[in-house]
Amino acid sequence: MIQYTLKRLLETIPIWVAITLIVFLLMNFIPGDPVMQLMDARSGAIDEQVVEQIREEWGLNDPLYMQYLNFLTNLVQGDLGTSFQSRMEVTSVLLERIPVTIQVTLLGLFFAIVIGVTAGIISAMKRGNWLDTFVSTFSIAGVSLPAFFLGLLLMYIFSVKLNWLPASGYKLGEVKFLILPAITLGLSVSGIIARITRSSMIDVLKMDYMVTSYAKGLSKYRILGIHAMKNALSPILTIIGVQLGLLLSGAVITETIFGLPGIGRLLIDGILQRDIPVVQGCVIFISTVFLVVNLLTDICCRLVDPRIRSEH
Amino acid sequence: MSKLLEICDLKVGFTKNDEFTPVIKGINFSLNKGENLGIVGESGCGKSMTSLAIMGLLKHKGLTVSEGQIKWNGRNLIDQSEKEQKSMLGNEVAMIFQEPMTALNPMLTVGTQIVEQIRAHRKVSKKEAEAHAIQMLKKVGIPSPESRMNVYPHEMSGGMRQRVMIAMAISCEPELLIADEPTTALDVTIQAQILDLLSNLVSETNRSMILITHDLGVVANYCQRVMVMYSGKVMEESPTNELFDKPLHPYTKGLIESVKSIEENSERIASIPGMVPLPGEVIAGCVFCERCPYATDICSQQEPPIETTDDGRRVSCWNYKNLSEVVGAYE
Repeated sequence: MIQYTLKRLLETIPIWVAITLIVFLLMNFIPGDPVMQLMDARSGAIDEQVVEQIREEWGLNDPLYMQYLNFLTNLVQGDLGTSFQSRMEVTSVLLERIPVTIQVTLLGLFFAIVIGVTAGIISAMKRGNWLDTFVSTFSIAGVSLPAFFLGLLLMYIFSVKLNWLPASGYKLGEVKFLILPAITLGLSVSGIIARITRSSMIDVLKMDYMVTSYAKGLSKYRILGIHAMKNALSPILTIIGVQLGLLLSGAVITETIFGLPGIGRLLIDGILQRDIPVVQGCVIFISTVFLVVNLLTDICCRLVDPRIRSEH
Repeated sequence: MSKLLEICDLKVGFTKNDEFTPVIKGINFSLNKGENLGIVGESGCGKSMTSLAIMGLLKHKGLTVSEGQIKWNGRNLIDQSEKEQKSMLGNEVAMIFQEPMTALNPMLTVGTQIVEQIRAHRKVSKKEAEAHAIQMLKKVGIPSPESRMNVYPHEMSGGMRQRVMIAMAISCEPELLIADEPTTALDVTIQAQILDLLSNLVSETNRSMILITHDLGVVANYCQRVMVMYSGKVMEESPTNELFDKPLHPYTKGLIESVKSIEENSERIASIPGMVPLPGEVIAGCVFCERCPYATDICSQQEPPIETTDDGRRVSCWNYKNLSEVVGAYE
């Protein structure tokens, strides 16, 4: 198992480097000169000499590969550069924003799993019943409804009409600001989790060992919770892993709608201001999390299934 | 002898598009305490469905009991509550399935699977249940049972897995064991071992067993009484010795001849022509009529009743009295 983990970890490193390269190149190919943008914003009059000086200072005149190598070396040391706009360390800006995003994402994931897995199990059990139809409709709606629309809808109902929860803003340690964004995220992802759970459960319920477990006179909890769930878990875990990445990118939209100061907002602001180091930092953070989550999912799937576990 | 199990006019089938298709078409039989009953027949004749009906597990295969009664120690099992059923299954009646490869849960250790059954029916601590499980594994002849407790099913051979199934089935000392083709999926060399083990375990404690098989040889060695089924009906029911000496039903005769011709090394293997009818196929008269070499006019017009002979055998055939006169019908 340890051997497998190490192997997967080593495989992940080149992928991660490739991601940094792609992100770096994309940023360079985006039209628009950040220095010009900055000058525009500051005064309007453009002094060629100052522009040249800034370009030199930021390393923008070096050949592309040199720029990339510099970027990568700094990145490995945890230095993501300095924001063009605020002149602050990108790493420290990110560290400030990350907790907000992680809170929303994890809370959203919690809602997604609770709603999705429960709905999936119920509809697998009540196959063909009205409850099953209801869950199917609901999950298609969840998959196809855009997050921003769902967010606005929830905001309208719970903030404007019922006045139960704040519509936007954030205060450290106050959960009420996180509930609506988390539900928005969770609902949009729970649909797909419900569908996978349902089909995985239906497959498992047909298996011979399920009949055995009934024939043994076990309790319903043991039959469904242990015998069925343990076998149905792998595909559900995989989809949850993939969806976690989707939740992170969904955070871009929800954070903007609900005015949360997280990574998503930082990314949008960075893009609007052509603040390349900030955008790079955000994208690299999100893709790194994505990679790590995928790695963890694979390891979890292995831990769950004794047949794969013993192959090594 | 008191009747442990009584099946009265049992009908089982499935409903598709509001149409009911019978699979078991009204069968009667009973089982005494301490008796081994063999149920024989080709694939698709309703043997396994009968056993699932007794266990109350039909709904998991999409089937329902439409008529009849299953009496367990005088209590009708058809309308018992879920709670009553749960306390009975695995405790008073236990089942051994055909495929040890798929009947054990691949995600749980052998120990866990035996222990959970013991703890579902006995109020014992985990430690006691584990000790009991180890005893059971020892009893079914698994070497070094202590270490086998932590092994997953895929790490064992087919024969070992079936031994685990048996250990599990006897762990709560059930009065009745139902073994549904317990050796079909196993190597020939293992088959006899498993069957010997089963019959020893059963006779040792005066338990009863229903052994479902399509192998007449197995029945001859391990059962006192045999019931022959065909297309969801009972064709014949007799004590084993008498059945082999003088089969009453043409179908039984065909089954025995086909085994005999293999044993006698004859050039041509005798076989019963045709195939088992599909569920839902409507047959006028006797269900076996189309494949029966002894069939007369009445066979295709009217269904034969099940008759009890003077010496207590049961048979469902219009011509059973005249069979011995026709020689070599199956050659």
